[in-house]
Amino acid sequence: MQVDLPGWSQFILALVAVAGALGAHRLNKRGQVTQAAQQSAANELASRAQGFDEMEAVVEWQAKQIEKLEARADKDAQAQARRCRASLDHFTTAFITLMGQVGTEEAKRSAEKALTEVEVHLAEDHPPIPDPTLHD
Amino acid sequence: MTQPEKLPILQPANDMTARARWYLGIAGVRHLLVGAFALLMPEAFKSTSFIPIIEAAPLWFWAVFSIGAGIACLGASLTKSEPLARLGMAWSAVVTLLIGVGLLLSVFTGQSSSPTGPIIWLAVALKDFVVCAQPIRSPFEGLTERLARKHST
Repeated sequence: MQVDLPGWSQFILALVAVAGALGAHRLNKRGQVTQAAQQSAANELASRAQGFDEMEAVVEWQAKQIEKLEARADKDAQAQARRCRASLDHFTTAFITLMGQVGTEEAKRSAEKALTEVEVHLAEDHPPIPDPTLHD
Repeated sequence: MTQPEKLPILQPANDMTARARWYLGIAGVRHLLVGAFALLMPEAFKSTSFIPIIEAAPLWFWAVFSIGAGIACLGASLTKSEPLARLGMAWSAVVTLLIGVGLLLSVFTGQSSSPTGPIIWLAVALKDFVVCAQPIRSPFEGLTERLARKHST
C-alpha cells in the first residue's frame, strides 16, 4: 500500500504531538497519584510501627515504676518491724523491772506467763532484722 | 511522675528510585546524541525514511526539540528533581512518538528504507509513556539502599 502524503505529514505529526503531550500529561498525573498512594501507605506503616515502639516504651517504664514501688514497700515494712521490735524490747525490760516489785506469787506467775508470751511472739513474728544503715 | 522517653519522629523516606534515575539518564543521553547528530551532521540523515519527518519540520527543529528533552531528562537524573523528571519523561515520550510516527508514515508513502525503524522508535515511545505512569520516587528507596549496602558488606 502506497499513500501520497504531500503536506499531510506536518498535520499528522502536529496532531500526534498534541495527542502525545495530552497522553503524557495524563499518565504523569496517574504516576503522581500512584506515588502519593505509596507514600500514604508507607506513612501508615511507619505510624503503626511507631505505635508499637511507644507501647513497648510505656510498658518498660511501668515495669520500672512497679519495681521502685515494691522496693519502697519492702523498706517501709522492714522499718515498721524494727520499730515494733524495739517497742516490745522496751516493754520486756519494763515488765521485768515491774516483776521485781510485785509481792504475791500469783502476780509473779501471771507476769512470767505474760513475759513468756511476749518472748514467743518476738521469736516467731519479729526475728531480729539487721539495720541496713548500721555498718560493722 | 516522669514521662517515657520521647520517641524519634517519622523519617520522610522519599528518594528517587535508582531505576528512574538510570532510565532518565539513558533517555537523556539518547536524545542528546540524536539531537547533536541532527544539528551538527544533518547530512547523516539521508535515509528516505526521514522524508515525512523533515517535510513536517526542518532538521534543526527536531535537533533542538530532542536536545531539550535530553537536557530535561539528564538534569532530572542528576538533581533528583521530580517535576523536571516528569517534564523530561513527557517530553521524551512525545519526541520519540513523533519520530516513530514519522518513520511509520514513510512506510505508507513507500519511502521507508527499513520497517525496523518505526517498530523500535514506537516501542521506545511506549516505554516512555509507561514510565510516565509510574512513581518516580519511592518511600522505601532509602531503606532498600541501606539494606542492600548492609547485605553486600
